[in-house]
Amino acid sequence: MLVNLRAYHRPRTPAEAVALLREGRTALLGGGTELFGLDDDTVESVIDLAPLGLDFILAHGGEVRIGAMTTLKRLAEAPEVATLAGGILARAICQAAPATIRAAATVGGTLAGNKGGEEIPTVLLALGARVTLAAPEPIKMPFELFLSAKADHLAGALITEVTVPCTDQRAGFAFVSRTPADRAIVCAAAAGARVAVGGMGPHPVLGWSDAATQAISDHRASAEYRRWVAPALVRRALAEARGEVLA
Amino acid sequence: MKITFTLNGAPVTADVRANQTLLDLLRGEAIYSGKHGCETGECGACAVLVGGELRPSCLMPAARVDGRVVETAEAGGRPNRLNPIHRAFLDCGGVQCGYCTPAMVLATEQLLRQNPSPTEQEARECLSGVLCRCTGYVKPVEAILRAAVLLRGEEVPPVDRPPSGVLTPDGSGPAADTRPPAASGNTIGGEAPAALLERTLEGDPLKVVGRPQPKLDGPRLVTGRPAFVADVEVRGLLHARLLLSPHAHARITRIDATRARALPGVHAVLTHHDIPRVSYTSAGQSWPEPSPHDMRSLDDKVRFVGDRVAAVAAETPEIAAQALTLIEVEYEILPAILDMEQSTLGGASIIHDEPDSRGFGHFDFARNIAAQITATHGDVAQGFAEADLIVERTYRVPKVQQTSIEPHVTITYLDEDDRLVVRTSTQVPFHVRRIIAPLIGLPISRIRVIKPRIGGGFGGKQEVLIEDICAHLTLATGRPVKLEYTRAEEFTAARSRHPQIITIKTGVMRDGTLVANEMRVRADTGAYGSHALTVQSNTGVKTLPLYRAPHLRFECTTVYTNLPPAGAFRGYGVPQGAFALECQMDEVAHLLGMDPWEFRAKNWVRVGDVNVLSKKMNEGKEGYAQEIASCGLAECVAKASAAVGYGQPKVSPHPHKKRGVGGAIAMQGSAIPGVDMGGAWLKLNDDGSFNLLVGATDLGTGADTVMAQIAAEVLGCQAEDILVYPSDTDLTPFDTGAYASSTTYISGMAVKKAAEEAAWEIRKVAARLLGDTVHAEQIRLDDRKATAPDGRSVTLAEVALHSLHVANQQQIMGQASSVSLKSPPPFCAQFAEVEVDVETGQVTVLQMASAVDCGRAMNPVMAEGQVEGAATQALGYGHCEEMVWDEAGRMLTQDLRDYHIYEAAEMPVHHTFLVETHDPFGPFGAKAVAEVPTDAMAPAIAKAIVSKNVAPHGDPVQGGTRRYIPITCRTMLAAECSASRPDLACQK
Ligand SMILES: Cc1cc2nc3c(=O)[nH]c(=O)nc-3n(C[C@H](O)[C@H](O)[C@H](O)COP(=O)(O)OP(=O)(O)OC[C@H]3O[C@@H](n4cnc5c(N)ncnc54)[C@H](O)[C@@H]3O)c2cc1C
Ligand code: FES
Ligand code: FES
Repeated sequence: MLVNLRAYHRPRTPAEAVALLREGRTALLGGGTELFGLDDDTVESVIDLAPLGLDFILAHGGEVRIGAMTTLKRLAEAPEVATLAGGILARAICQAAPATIRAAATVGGTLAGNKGGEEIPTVLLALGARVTLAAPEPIKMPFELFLSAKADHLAGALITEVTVPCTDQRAGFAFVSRTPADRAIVCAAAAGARVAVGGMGPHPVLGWSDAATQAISDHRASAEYRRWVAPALVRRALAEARGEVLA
Repeated sequence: MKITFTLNGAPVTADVRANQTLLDLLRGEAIYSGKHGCETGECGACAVLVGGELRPSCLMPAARVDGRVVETAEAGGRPNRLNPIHRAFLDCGGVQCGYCTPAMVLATEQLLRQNPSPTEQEARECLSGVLCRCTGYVKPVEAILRAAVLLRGEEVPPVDRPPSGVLTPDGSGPAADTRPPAASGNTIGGEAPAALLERTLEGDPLKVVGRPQPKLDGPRLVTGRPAFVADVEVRGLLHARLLLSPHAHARITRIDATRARALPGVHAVLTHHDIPRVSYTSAGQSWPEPSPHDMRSLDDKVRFVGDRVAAVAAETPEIAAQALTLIEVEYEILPAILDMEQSTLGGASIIHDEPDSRGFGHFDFARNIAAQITATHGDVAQGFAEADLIVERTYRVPKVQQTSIEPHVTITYLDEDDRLVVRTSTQVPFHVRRIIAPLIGLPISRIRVIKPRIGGGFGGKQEVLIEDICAHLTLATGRPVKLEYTRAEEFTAARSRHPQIITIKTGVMRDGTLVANEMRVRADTGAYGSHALTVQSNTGVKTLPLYRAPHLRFECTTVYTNLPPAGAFRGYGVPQGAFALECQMDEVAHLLGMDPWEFRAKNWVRVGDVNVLSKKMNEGKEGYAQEIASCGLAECVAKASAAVGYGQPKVSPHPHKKRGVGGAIAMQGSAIPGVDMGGAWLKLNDDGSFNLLVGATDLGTGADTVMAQIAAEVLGCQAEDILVYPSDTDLTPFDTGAYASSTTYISGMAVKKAAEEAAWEIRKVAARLLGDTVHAEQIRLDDRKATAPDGRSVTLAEVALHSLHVANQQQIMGQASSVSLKSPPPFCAQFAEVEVDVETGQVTVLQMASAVDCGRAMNPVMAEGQVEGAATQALGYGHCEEMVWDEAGRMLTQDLRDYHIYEAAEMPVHHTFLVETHDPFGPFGAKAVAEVPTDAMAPAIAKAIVSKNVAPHGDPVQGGTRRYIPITCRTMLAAECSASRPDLACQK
């Protein structure tokens, strides 16, 4: 419960939102699926991003631009995304969150939050996505850079959009989970020869060698297991990206 | 903040707070169909349609619905105005407790608007995000598909299961040659059931019992009417919160609530200084409870992370939460025991060192032993000396949680006479009243406990978990108080299934004859010993005698640790024992070079055998030897194994995946003999309807409907004519409660007897009305009429009017209680087909089958629903559920993402069979049904993954066998995958 949340802002522009953000003790509101589930008494106001016009999917100039307020459901169902890299982004989204959550959670909240799973960021990483922040001036950066220091980048800034290069290149996605619909413990995504691995550390990383060094242990799997299973998943993602049939 | 939105077609203007959720807003608008099941979006019980999309209302800021269209289950209809989706859910048995039902109905609505002809997979996926712990999703999915047909305006056949046929007690005999196999079948996902029962309705003497009567309280549940504890508006209600211990083991050296009490809006803060110190057990059992009295409502010592420290009642949940942060507590931290194997080591700290705790039976608090049990028959030492082969193995089973979707919730208030009313989600209303009386210092006569509909229990609510503290707060403030657990509190401060380490030593002759079986168990009851003795006695007493052996021995030590307490959980000790025993039987058969099923069949019990251990141990005392009077085990095995193709080659289309099948059997009891008791009272109304007042506690299983069916059968009317009013300590007769598979068997028998008493009075009046020549004995009650042999009849309404208003006036009624020294065991066989990915160790369960001998199925659709729900919980037990804690004893699995229960889209195909036998003791031949299918699925899965096909080199004895569950990747270490599974290693 956000016991001390008392003020609700509806800014009209990203700049207004950033200005409000700088006042402190405040949080940006995407879909609220993470924020409103928190037990946090430090949040005193929220900044609703809905009026900023960030709910869009635009394909042009060799890339797909996805507004930060686009819901995961809309994204997974968009024709532009269905064909993108063999549809692995849509697949990862449906694996990641149940339908009720997809209808509410936003792309911006999923990338900025801390409770989202590994599937979506891993796929975005493999696809070479870029993140645009408003701080309040727009800053566009590769997704790996954003991930490497997420908290710093988000201090006093908000995500406005994510861009994914259009590619008709095949891609691949493989994961292991406790049960078929459970979130991934470890997952790998490949676009051509570019591989990203998620679930090994605090955030997904590009390339296999980095991932192997940092394996974490938690209640779902040990570090040994993660290290043991990751190469198989990487192999599968790459094989799928090469067009080999797998399941 | 002012907002305007459309709610179920009508415009609404509301003033909302910044932190208010849509769920809260809707409840304020008297919309109760959105339920609270968690705070973090996982359960979906709160889901409503916003702009036509189903989403959790608990996470949606109320401010966000400004200008939007919101639809809730209330829009769909009323109990007397059902729509086709409602009808389909009721007819298919898609509703059990009903807590998840409004969300499921809305999910169906959303799907069918967009897609009038969904596939089964689409139907399953539309439930994504709505968890159900009762149904196993089979029947809800069936309901969605049926609703689609109805809405397309097409014809649907009635949902019908042929009535119970009566097999001879052992499941064979004349029935086998005069009728087709007595099983009703139902599958999800697979092809159409091959062997649906072909028996016909004609010729069955029973008219109501044995038929798929839709749930009588279903209409209110599908339409989202306010039926549950929290669905009431109480003026002046205060909100309670508990301060829970952050330490696994500590003494409270100072506690000061001054600042919390000073906070405006706080009405009471209670610490151990403020209430009398009374020892009790929270186990909801018959008096005297056979569990140690080792708890206090508030204590000066905390024994697990999540133990109570203080309680607050305040005007709003926010103020209550804030008050918790203002309570100053200083702790002296004590060494904690988090591993049951260390509890009894010398030098371990003593968890119950207080002088006022009282044990039960054999115990030793100084060594952290909550209960010790031994039960023997014959002399195992002699048996082992005679045996050709002795096999000894150790098995481990985890701590898992009941996870009812409705958390524990209680509202207490003082009525107009200042009597305390406790409205609570419980399986044991009468035990609640008796157990809290001394804690709060009120006589039993000044307490009334009401159980409204409850959203699942599964044993977790056979516990007086929060009623005491809620009542204390009402007494302290004079105000109504509501206390509702959060999901995290369910995982940290409620109950769970006892984890165990089980060693079995088996002595067997070369020809496969068992001579001795010994089970030694260490069990972990956590910080308190609720059900410590009784759950564990079942582990041996209800499992070992499944196989005949002249020498049996069971021994168990249940120890305390500084972990959340264990308690009752469906199966009550048997899932643990059955896992070990069934794996052991395979290991022994393997060493003998025998087929495991041939080995089992050679040794399993049959009709006429006597469960000798049940005489040695029953609720902590001497019990009653149980003779097996009916047993359909062979039929169960045949059905379940055939359904999953046991013995056929299983080949995955993927080279890196292998498939295998495993199976297991189990037995349970029907009620606790000589202890469980239920009463029923029935009266005839002017129009020929009846009020039936029963103590029996329907926890979502459909017991009320079964009670009505039983009464209607006897009284010659329809189930709808029986108005059931259950479990209210002021109004209904006593009942021990809904546990130990007792409701149909015990309470059902009480209803039958009460109905017979009323029926006799009806016959007498009817005989008078029909003239001198007719005797009461000759009158037949049928079709809402009392009919004489010559065909003349009077209606029940005429009988009622006459006896109430005309002559020899009397209230026709019947009353009875029932208790039984017999506890006829239901049996089951469960099989699973799994696929193992040899490169990742991931296990996927592809299909499962459960065949249950439940005596006569009183309501076959509901009985199937019980089997499907139980098997799904057992699937989780074997495959993915596990409570995990860190080195400080803090639960790491505190929400339904970390603790995973199966959801609809990922469910394996499930084949269900009711193998009906006629038991001579139960009402109409019934035995219990709801617990036994939680017992054998976990071993079936564990065996499937080491079956020959999957692990050709995995010699079950050399280490290839799975001797522990769950089968998650956490336990699939690289080392194990390569060392003990050469087949896995070579593929890498
Ligand atoms: C039961 C459940 C299961 C889930 N499973 C998965 C899963 O397996 N995989 C997965 O990926 N996700 C999963 N999710 C979703 C995930 O956990 C988050 O809830 C979701 O992605 C957050 O999106 P949101 O738009 O609702 O964010 P919000 O709750 O609105 O915000 C989340 C955080 O991000 C910040 N924020 C929001 N928008 C922006 C922005 N534009 N710029 C900067 N900061 C912003 C907020 O201030 C907040 O700190 C699941 C969610 C639930 C409830
Ligand atoms: S999802 Fe809202 S209460 Fe659980
Ligand atoms: S019927 Fe679904 S949770 Fe009970």
